[in-house]
Amino acid sequence: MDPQSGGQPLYTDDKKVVLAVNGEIYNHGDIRKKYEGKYNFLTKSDCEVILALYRDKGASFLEDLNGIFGFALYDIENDIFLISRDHMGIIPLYHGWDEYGQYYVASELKALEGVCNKIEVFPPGHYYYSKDKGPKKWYSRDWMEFENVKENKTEIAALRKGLEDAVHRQLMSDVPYGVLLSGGLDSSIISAVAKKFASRRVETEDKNEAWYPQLHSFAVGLPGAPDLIAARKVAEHIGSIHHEINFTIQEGLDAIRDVIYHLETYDITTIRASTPMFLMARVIKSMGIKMVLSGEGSDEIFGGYLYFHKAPHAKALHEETVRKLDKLHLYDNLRANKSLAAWGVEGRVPFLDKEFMDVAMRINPEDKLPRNGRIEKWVLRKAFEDMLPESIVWRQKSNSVMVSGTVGLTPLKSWFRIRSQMISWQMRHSNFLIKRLHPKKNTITEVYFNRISRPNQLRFVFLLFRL
Amino acid sequence: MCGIVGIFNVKKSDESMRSQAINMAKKSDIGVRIGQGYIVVRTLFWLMNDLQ
Repeated sequence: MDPQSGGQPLYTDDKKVVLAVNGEIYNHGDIRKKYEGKYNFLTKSDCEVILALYRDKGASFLEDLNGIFGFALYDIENDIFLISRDHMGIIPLYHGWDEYGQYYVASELKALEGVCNKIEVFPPGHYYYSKDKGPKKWYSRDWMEFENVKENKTEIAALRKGLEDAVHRQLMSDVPYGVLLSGGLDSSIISAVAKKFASRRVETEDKNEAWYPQLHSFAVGLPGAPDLIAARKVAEHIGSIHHEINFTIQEGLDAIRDVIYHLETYDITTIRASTPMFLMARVIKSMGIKMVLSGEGSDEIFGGYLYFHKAPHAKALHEETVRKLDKLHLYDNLRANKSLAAWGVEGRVPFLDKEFMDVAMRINPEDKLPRNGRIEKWVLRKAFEDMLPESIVWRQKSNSVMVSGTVGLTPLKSWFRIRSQMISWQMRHSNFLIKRLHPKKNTITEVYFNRISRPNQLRFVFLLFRL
Repeated sequence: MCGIVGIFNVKKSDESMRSQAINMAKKSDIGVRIGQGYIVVRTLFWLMNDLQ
């Protein structure tokens, strides 16, 4: 928000508190109103409310924020720092320590590489107040325990309103924006809801006309991919200006090195799914679009993956959704943020909106179970069935959607095989490093699968890539 | 959107930390991509050092 006056870092008017922040605070308008006359705002930046809240509440204000953020705040007068990250880890943040005990935080892992002896992912939903010994959790919810939701009543209308409100909040923008439309259920819903609000300016509570009233949608895939056809169908239905971006297998392969560089991970699925998104972001950026909404998080919240069909009971399903959400910052959130940020495009993910998650995760898990004629994500489909073509709403997740969301199954197989071979080759040639760093591990595969999923080993990933 | 770099508990000399902070921003492309990252780094750095 407010790119003209939102320059960083942000200060309090007495210059005694300074803030470096990456992200968006969606409820900044409400917070500003609350502090009118009590705090002297110097800019119109949405993130400035963090300073107002800090002045009022010290470190105990993080629950007041609804947004995506990673920030470092320094209180000069009291020599205190406060570092924090959003509830789901949508905005990347890393921290590290060097041999002198100096403490570093950075948006990108590579900033810390070579400087810090120890580097870790800053945990989502945590804050590090310098008065404490280390990061503490600030994001905790009743729905994380099955016992607290098992008797709840599922309200389809409330679910719909919750997501519409989230999309509306996240359409807050002073720059041209669009939607990523893969043709799957989740991105189609986000696109349809965005179209509903696109003509009015959210910042004026929909009283004025929008600065960018036309909704642009973007789909990417290998030529002929079924998802591209589905995306086109949705775009025609909702009336968006649709852009179809094709790429070749060779272009995908050529991009892998850059994708790994920007994502700072070697996770196979994440790299595979990020590559088309990365290629698409380049085109989006070239069209002057600065922000896009995307559908990440829905499968984790609603149990959308096909293996959820095998969940033996509601408790198991719910616990798996909570577990997957807890790990999302290592996978889909990385993809949504960094594939786009590599080209200066900002990704927003309404399904992971803090308020909407409370609504969706408090649904009775029994109603998320795909059984008795109900396919996965039945409640979500039901909530939005009138906004999309029937063939889209009730289209079951296919294998191609499951693994990529953007490309067709047949070309994907060959592309996936080639990509796997390429990474295997890179790993084989990294053998000497693995032996040096991990002498107790016998094989590359063992090191890879043991290390890659651990946040505190991301430095290893980066070292591997640098070879 | 802006990338951030912060350094706290600064114990080394001004000049070495200054160049380190700038290098960090450059290495991560934060300064290049965002255009403001360098300033963020430098400002935070100098604020830290003002207190040493």
